[in-house]
Amino acid sequence: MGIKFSEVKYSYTYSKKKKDNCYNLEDASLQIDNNDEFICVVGHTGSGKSTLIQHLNLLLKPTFGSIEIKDDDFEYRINGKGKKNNTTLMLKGKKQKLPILKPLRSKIGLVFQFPEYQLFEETVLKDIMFGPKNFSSQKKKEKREEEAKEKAINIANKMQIKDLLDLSPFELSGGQMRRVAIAGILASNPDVLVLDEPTVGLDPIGKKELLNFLKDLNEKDHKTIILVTHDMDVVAEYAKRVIVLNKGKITYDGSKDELFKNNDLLLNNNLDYPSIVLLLKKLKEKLNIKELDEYQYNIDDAFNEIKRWSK
Amino acid sequence: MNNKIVFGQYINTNSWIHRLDPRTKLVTLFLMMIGVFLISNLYVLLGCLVFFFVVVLTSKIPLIKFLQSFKTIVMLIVFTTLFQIIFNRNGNIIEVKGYLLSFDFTLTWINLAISIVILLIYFLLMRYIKKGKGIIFLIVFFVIMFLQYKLTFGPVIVSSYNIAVFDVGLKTSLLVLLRIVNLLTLSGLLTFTTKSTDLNNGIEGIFAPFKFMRKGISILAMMISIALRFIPTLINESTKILRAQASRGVDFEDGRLKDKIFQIVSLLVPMFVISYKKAEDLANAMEARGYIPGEERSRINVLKYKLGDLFTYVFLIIFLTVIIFFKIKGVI
Amino acid sequence: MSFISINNLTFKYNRKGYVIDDLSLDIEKGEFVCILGHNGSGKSTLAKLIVGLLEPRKGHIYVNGLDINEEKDGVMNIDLVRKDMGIVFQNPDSQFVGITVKDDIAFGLENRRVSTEEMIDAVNKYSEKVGMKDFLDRNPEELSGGEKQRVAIAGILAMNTELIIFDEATSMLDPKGVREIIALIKKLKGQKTIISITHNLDEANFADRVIVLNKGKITLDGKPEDVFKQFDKLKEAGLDILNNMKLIDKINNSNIDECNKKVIEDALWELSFPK
Repeated sequence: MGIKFSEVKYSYTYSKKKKDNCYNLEDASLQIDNNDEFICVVGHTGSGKSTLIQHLNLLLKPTFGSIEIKDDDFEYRINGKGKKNNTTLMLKGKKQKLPILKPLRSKIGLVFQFPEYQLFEETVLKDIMFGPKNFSSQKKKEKREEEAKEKAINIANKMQIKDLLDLSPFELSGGQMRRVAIAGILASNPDVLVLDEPTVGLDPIGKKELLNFLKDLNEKDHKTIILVTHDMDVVAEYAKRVIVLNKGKITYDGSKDELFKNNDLLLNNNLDYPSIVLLLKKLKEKLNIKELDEYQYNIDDAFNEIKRWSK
Repeated sequence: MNNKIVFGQYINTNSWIHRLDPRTKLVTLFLMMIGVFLISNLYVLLGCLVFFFVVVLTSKIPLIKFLQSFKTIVMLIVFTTLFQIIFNRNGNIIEVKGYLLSFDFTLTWINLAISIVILLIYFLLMRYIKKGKGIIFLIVFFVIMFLQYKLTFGPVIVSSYNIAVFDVGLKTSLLVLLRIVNLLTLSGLLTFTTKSTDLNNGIEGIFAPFKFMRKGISILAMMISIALRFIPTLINESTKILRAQASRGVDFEDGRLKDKIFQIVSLLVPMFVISYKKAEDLANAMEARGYIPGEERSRINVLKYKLGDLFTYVFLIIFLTVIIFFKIKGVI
Repeated sequence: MSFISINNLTFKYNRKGYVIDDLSLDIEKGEFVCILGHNGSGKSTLAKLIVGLLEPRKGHIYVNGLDINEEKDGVMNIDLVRKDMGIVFQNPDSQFVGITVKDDIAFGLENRRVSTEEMIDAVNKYSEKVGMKDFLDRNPEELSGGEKQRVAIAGILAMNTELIIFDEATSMLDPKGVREIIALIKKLKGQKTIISITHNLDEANFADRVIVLNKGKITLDGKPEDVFKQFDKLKEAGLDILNNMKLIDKINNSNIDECNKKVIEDALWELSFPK
């Protein structure tokens, strides 16, 4: 899977007549090639994070600029031309008349912030089956059902929500609902999983469980995870790559280490230090220890660093 | 979401009409509408229309925007007027420079066949035409009628039906047309210059003196106010639901009708669940802040009549008196 | 009697098990209490019970000495007691009643039939206090979550209630919003009685008293520095303890030499609970 954004601009209210259109996303260029990236997208409310990720599965199409998305089977090219855009799709080497988006959306799964936006079936099982059924290439209805059911049960086993399958999605707790919603996307076996602030409203333990599951998915199944988050502790502990957005522009794209060590960058983008880094920074100052490396991203590393120093 | 949804067609230009009390605007509009219906003289109606448009101009609302708001209803008006002209056969046939406005049509196999071909081409081309669909349709319509008027040889299906324009028919249909346009202008004047919240306050204000129905009205006003508050929110939510389901392969552009119907369920259920949850949260918030339905409440937005309102009412009374006076006299 | 006194409170929703299980609790005037617990521990239910949005199965809640679920001379006590209570809910959007900020702040006052002039004064005063004065004519769609919560707080301050409950008021906000709201709560500390239900352990850090709920029962109750020491009980209650505390715990159980251990621990402790 390869995703390439070239100077993508997007405006919700674009009009040719207006001279100064306000863009929610401006000149965003980025490339995602690897199969096991864990990318955190951070930035303030209104910085264009949601706009950016909705371009990934073409829920939004660029006003200007271009997007290329390639996979073994398909190749999409979208050129934004103001109100209109030019979409071409090559499916297995053949150019398609109608650039349908289903092949893309089954490979790049997008989970919205609140599970309430997508749960609707009578049972959890049926709800998880909904995606695979829609994306299925099987002609016969029975075959489609069967295939979808198999996929749904597989993913339910993996996510440890097997006990919930016969319940109604609306009698679940918040954390369970979120798991079911993610299962509904994962069931179609996407290569890239995009999540919009999946931990908001969860308690600390639920949060940790979910993030560790995503980590496993990334490390064991080599799925690319793209996570929109506000929580710098999450970034510190899980991200391999960080994309910072500020007022519609990508202001940083790189490793978390470089980001956290760049004080100005954090300040300019209104970002916090992760709580562990902040704590170690304070400790360093208080005890006046020069040789302590405060850039530790989880409790164990922080502990080891203190231990190393104290010896 | 950054795309702000504007509800209604309010444009703030802060003109004297904008500054009028919404109650004044509501009462004036309502009584003027009745007044307009009393008039059955074409020229007086036309005079009223010109006057209303002058008022629109003083409100500083861009005239183009104002006329655009008629766009959706213009076709309907044109067709009802045409039907009226054709089917109202009272009075005498109108004569223009010695020619009677009366036409005989004949439907033959030949002109029927040509008409069908034209219609087919029209429908095929329709996909590629974006602008001026209505005008092209009218042209096609007239071409077909013209064929039936002139091209009358060959085997006949329906022989000579007659369409004629009668003077009384024309007058009544023009009368109805003018009345409708007057009404639209008046109501446009209200909606372009008054926020929906002010309208709501105005309605409540008008009914405030009627003690016996105050309780119902205050509940109704609260309901309208909450609806106005939550419509933009719910529209935003519905786009999110649509996108969330699109990510799961819901596609309204292609797919069979049966699938589509099922897919609509996937939008409706979350919409219902979210609305219900919001309603519950809102009810809790309102109860916790001491709201008791129907109980008397004070208001932070108190409507106050100003000098402009007085003038408007004086003018309204003069307007109505004059109309009623002449109506009784039988002049208009 | 305490300002709020809860005796043997029991509550359950239909079918499911007890959400609040024989709970007793006293809260004094002016206290700032944080209630912690994992999702489903019953903390939001407790808040709804205190403001009378739910009715207990058993037990009593007294506010200002009045049992809120009793009736006297045809007047529900809750209607009297509500004048002393305000609650800020989790979802910033769905508790925004008014069409504009001004209308929303005034909503509670309108219900109390306060005169228009007084209302305008109150709206101006309290919108300034929460830093929303320049937003009075804005619609909720134009506001961020944090701003909406500030409006909700202004609405409650305008009603001048003795008690303010924050029911996970920061859980749906971005870091900036969280900071703003916590700063506001800090400002209110000491002026009002505050009950804050939260996941934010940093917020709990500066409370007068921290209560941990698990399965509808109080498992811990005390000063933050005492409560946060009890790692085992916190873990049992499904709470991820503060990073600082975790680190102290690890250092405590390690083989670092005693002298250094003491220095680091003291330093971390002081950083966590500054005096």
